[in-house]
Amino acid sequence: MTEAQQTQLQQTQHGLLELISIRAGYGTIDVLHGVSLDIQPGQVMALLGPNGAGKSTTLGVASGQIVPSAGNLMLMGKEVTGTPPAELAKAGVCLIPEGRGIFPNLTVMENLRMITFAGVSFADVTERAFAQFPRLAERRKQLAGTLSGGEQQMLAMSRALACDPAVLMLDELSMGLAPIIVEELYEQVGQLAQSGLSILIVEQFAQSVLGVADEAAIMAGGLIQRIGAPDDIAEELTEVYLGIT
Amino acid sequence: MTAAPLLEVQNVAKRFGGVQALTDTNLQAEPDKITSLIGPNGAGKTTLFNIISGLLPATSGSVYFKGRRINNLSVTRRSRMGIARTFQKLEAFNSLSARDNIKVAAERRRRRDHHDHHNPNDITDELLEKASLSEVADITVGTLPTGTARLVELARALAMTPSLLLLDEPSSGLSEEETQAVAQLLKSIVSPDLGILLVEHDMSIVMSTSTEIYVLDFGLIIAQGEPEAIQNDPMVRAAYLGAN
Amino acid sequence: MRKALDTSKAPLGKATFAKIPLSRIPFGALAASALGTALLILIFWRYWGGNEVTYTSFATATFIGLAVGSLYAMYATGLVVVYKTTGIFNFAQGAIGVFNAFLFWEFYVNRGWHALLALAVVVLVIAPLEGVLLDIAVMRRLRNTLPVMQLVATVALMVLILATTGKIWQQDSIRQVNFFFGRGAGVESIFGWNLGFKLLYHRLITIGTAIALAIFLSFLLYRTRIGTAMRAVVDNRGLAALNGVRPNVISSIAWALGSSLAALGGILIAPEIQLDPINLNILIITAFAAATFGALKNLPLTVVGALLIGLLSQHISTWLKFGSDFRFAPDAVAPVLLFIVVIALPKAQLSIGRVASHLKPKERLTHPAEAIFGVAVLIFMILVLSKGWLNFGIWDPGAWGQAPLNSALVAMGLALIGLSIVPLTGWAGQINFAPLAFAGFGAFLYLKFAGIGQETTNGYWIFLVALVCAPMGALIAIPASRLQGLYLALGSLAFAQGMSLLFFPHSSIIPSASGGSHFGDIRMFGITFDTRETFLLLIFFAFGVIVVGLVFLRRSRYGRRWVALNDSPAASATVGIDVNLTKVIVYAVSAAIAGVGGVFWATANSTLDGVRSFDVINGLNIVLLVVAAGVSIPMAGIFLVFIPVFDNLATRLEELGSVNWLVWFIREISVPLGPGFLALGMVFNPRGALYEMGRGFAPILPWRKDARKEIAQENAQKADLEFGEMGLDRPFAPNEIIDLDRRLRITDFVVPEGGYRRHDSAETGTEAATAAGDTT
Repeated sequence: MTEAQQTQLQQTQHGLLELISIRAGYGTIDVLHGVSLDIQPGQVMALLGPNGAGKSTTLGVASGQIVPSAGNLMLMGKEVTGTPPAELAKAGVCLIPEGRGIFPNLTVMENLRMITFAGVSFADVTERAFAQFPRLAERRKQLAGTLSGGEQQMLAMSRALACDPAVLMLDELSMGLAPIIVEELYEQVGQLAQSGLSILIVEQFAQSVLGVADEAAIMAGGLIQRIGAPDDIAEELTEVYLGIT
Repeated sequence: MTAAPLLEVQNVAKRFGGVQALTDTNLQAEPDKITSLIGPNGAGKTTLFNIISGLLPATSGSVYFKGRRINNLSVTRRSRMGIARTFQKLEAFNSLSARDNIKVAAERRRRRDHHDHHNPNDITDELLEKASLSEVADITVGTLPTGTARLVELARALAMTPSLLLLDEPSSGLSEEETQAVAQLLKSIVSPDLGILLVEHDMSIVMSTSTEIYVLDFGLIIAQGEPEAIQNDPMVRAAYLGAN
Repeated sequence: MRKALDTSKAPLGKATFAKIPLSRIPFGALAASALGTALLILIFWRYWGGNEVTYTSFATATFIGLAVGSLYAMYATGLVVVYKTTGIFNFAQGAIGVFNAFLFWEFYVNRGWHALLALAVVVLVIAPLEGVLLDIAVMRRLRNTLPVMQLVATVALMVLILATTGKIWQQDSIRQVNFFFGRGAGVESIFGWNLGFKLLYHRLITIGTAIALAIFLSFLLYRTRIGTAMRAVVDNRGLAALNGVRPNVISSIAWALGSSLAALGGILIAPEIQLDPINLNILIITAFAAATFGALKNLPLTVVGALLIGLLSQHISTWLKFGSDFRFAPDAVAPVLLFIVVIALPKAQLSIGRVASHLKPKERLTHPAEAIFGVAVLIFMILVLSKGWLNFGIWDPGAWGQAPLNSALVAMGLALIGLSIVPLTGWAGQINFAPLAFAGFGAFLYLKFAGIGQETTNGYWIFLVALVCAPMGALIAIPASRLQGLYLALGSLAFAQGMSLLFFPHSSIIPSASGGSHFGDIRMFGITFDTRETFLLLIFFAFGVIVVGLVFLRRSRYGRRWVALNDSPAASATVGIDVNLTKVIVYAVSAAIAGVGGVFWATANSTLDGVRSFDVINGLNIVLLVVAAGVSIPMAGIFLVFIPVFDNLATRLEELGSVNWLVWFIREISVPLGPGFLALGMVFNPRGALYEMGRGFAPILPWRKDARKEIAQENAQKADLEFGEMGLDRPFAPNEIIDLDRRLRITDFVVPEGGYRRHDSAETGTEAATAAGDTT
C-alpha cells in the first residue's frame, strides 16, 4: 500500500465493516445504485425494505459473493473489495444466507463439521451449538434437509455462535417460521448483541428486529432511503409494508 | 344450485422434507374480480401458485377449477382449460422476440367458443399494443430490461385468453410509473370472463385494485377480507411487523 | 432402483395401497426390471451354447466376471465422485483411463521400469496432475455454460484424448501388458479349501483393490473433513464458500481423485484385454452404465451395477453362442443395461427458474435468402474445382477433379446427417449422440426398399425412408420426453453403441456381398445420377431443400415452440404447449433428416462396413463439428466437409511432393483431433464458428447491418473503457489506485492468523475511533 493510500485511509473515519458507494448487480443489470453503510464495532444495524429493494444483494457484496462494479468494501479499515468469500469468512465475516444456510444432504453433525473450515475446533463448535440448541444434539445423525424449518435455522445460526466472528450478517432469519420460533431465535440474536458482536440484520419481521437494533436503515430501489434510530423508523415501515398513509 | 367458484383451493397442504410450506390453505377466486394473496416472504404464496398451476403436486387437499377437481391434470391441460400465470422469477422465452413470446401462447390459446376464429397474429398485435410493447416487439426478450420482460410475460399469459390469471409479483423490478401502468392494465382486463389471483408486495397495487384479500402467513390463511379491513387487522399488522 | 425395492418389499395390504399415491409407484423401474429379466431368460434360452455347467467352469466364469466387474467399479466410482462434487458428468473418464494405461505400458514394458514404480508414477503423480489440469483448463469454465454445452465439451474431451492416445501409440504393434505376478501365478486353494481352478494373483488383487477402494471412498466421503466438504460443495457451493471452504480447491481434489481411479482401472484391465484404444472403448460406456445404476450418486449401488455387468458379460460369453451375426453381443451388455436403466428412471419434474437460459448466446435467425445464397455459392465452388475453371495451372482437373469430388460427396452426406442436429440440439436443446445410428437405419431402409445390389435405385424411396425414420425417432423420444439433459445423452449414447454392436454388424442389415456397390446410382426426376458431378449436384439440391426447409420451420409455430421449450419448459407448459408431444415431434423431424442424410451418405460411400462405418466415435464427431460450427445455424452442417476435404488435401499435397510438415500436420493433427479441439473451443465461444465468420465478413456483406452495428457498439465500449481508466491526462488519485487494484483483483488483504474475532474487533474499533478522533 502506498503512502498516499495510507493517509487517505487514515483521514476517513472507518467502522468495522464499511460499504462505500457500492454499485452491484447480476449480469448487466445493476441492483444497487450507490449504497453506503457503516457498521461500528458492537453495533446492531437493521436493514429493512420491500422485496427487490436490494437488501440481499447488499449482503452478497458484504460477504464477497458478489463483486461490485463500483465502490469499495472495507473490513477493519482494510480494502477487501474482490476478496473471495472463503477468505472473508476466514477473516471473520459471517453471513447466514436467506432460506436456511444449511447443507440439506449432510447430517447435523456434518453440517457442524463444515463450520470448522472457518478456523474453529470441532469440539468448540459442537459444545457451543448443543449448549444453545439442545434439540440439535437430539438430531445429530439426521439429515439436515429433514429437520423442521425452525431447527434448520438453529443449525444455520450455530455457525454464528461457534466461529465468534467479527461481524455477523443475518438474511431473513424469520422467513417462513412460526412467530414463536422467531422469538426464540431473536433471543439468541439479542444475547449475541449484548456480548458486543456487530450484527447486520436484513428482515421482514420488522418489529422483532427493531427490538434488538441500535440503528435501522430503510432500503428501496437499490438505495438507502433513510437511516436512523429504530423508533423513528417504525412509522415509515407501516407505510412501506401495508400502504397505509 | 349456485355456480361453482372459478377457483377453489380446499385444505391444501405441502411439505418439503421437514419443512411445512403450506399447512391448510383455503381460498377462492371469482371472475370479474382481483383477488390478492399477500403475506411475508416464505409464507408459501409461490408454492400455492405452483400447486394451482400444476408445477408442484400438493401433499394433500384439492384444487377445483370451475367446479372440477384438477389435482391430477397436467400443467398443459390446466393451461388449456384457462389457467394462465406469470412467474416471480421471470420465465420469459429469452431467445425469442417479444412478438414470438406472445405468439407462442396465442397459437395455443383456449378458444372461448366455436365462433372464436381470431388469428394469432392479430391477437399478438393487439396485446403488444395494449401492453405498450409495440416498439420492442422484435427485440430478443433476453436483452430487454426486467420491467419490459415482465410485461412480455404478462402479455403472453393474456394471449392464452385465460379465465383465471395467476400473477406472481408483477411489479417486482418495475419502476414506479410502470407499476402504476400495470395496475391500470390489471383493472382494465378483469371481466366476467376473467378473474385474477394476484400475489404482490407492492401494497399500492394490492389496495387499489383488489376486491378481496387473503393474508397467508406460515402456510396458513390468517385473514381474509376487503382492503380496509385487512389494513386494520391486528393479526396482519403482527404478521408483517412482528408479533407484539 | 432403490425405490423399486422398497415398494416391492412393503406389505401389499389395502391400507398400504391407499397410502401410496399412484404417482409414487415406480412403474418404470418395475417394468424395466421385469423386461430385463424376461429378455435375459429369452436370450439364454435361445442362444444356449450347450456347454456342460460344471462347478469349475461356473466358478471360473464367476470369478473372472467379478474381477472384471471390480475394474468397471473403479471407473464408475471415480465418475460418481467427480459428478457428486463438481456437478459435471465426465464423459472422458474412460478415455483418461485408456490414456494412462498406455502411459503405464510405456514406462513398464517399453522403458523397463519396475512395475510398482510405473504404477505409482502414473496413478499417484501423473493422473492426479491430469485431473487438476483438466479442471483448471476446461471444467471450471464449464460451470457457467448451458448443460448441453457441458455434455458436448466432455464428449469432445473424450474424443480428443482417445485420438491423441491412438496417435502417440500407433496401432502398428501388439501391446500386451502382462498380469502382475505373471500369467500363470495364482493359488488353487484357500485355507486348505480346494477351489478347483486357479485363482490368478492379478485378479485376486484386482478384486481386493476394488473392495479397498470402495471402503476408502466411503470413508473419505463420509468420515473425513475433506469428504464432508466435497459433499457440501455439491449441496450448496456458495454456502460452502461462506463457511471458509474454497470450492475450486475441492473440485480440483475431486478431479485428481477421479483421474487416479480411472488410471488404476485402466492399468489393471490392460492385461485382461489387448491394449488398443478400440478395445478399451468398451470401458467407457460400461462405467456410465454402472454409474447410472447407482443414479449417479449412490456409490454402493454403482459397485453393484459394475459387478453385475462384469458377471453378466462373462457368463454370457462363457455359456452362450451367438453365431457371427451377433458376435459382439457380450460387449453389448453394458449399453443394453444402460438403456434399460435410463428408461426406468423416474420422470423428471419440470424445472422452474433454470439459471441457464441467460447463458444462452443470442441466436441470429438465418434468412431464407441467405440459405439459398449459401448453397449456391457452395455448388459454384465445387463446379469450379471439379471443372478446373480456376486451376491456376496447379493441377490437372482431369486427374484431380475426381478425388476432391469423392471426398466432397462423402462430406456432403455427413453434412446432411449433421443437419438433423440443428433443430434437435440447436433449437429444442435436446441432445442426441446417435445421429449416425439413425442415418444407418435410413440407409438400411433404403436398401430394403430400393433393392440390394441394383445398378440404379429408385430415388423416390427416400421419401418413404423419411416417413419410416420419423416414428423411429419418436420412439427414442419416449424416454426422452420423461428425461432431460444428461440421461438423454447417456440413453442416446447407449442406443448408438447398442445399434453399432447388435444391429449393423448383422449380416442381413448391411449385407457384405462380395465386391460391387451395394448402393446403386439414384434415379430421380427422370435422371440417373451416375456420375460424381451429377450426384454431387443432387446432394446439394437435397441439402439446399432441407436447409431452406429448416429455415422456414424455425420461423413456423413449431420452431417457436421448440425454442420456447428450450428456454423454459415450465413456462412452455403454462402456455399450453404439450411438452412431451413437442419433444416427440422434434425427434421425429430430426430422425427423418438423419435417415435421408444416411441414404445419401451411404450412396456416396457406395459400400458400408457394418462394423466400422457406424463406430460411435464417428457419430460423436458429427455432433461435435456441428456444435463447433454453431448448432443453431442450419448451414452448420457444411462444417462436416472438414474431415474428408482436409484428408484429401493432404493426399494432394503429398502427391505434389511438397511441404511435408503440412501433410503431417493435416494427417496426424487436424483430421483426427480437429473435431474435438473445435468443439472444445465452443466452450469459450458458444455462438459457434460460423456465426463468428459471418461477423467477420459483415463489412462486405451488404445485408448484415445488424452485425456491423453490433461491432461498432462493442468498439465504442472498448474505447470508452480504455480512456476512462488510463490515467493519461493526470496522475492516479489514491482512490483510483484502490479501484484499479480491485479491478485487477490485486488486494493487499491478507487474512490474519486465526482471522478477526469479535474481541479484536472491539479493540481495533476503539483504536480506529481514537485515531479518527485525533485527526479531527
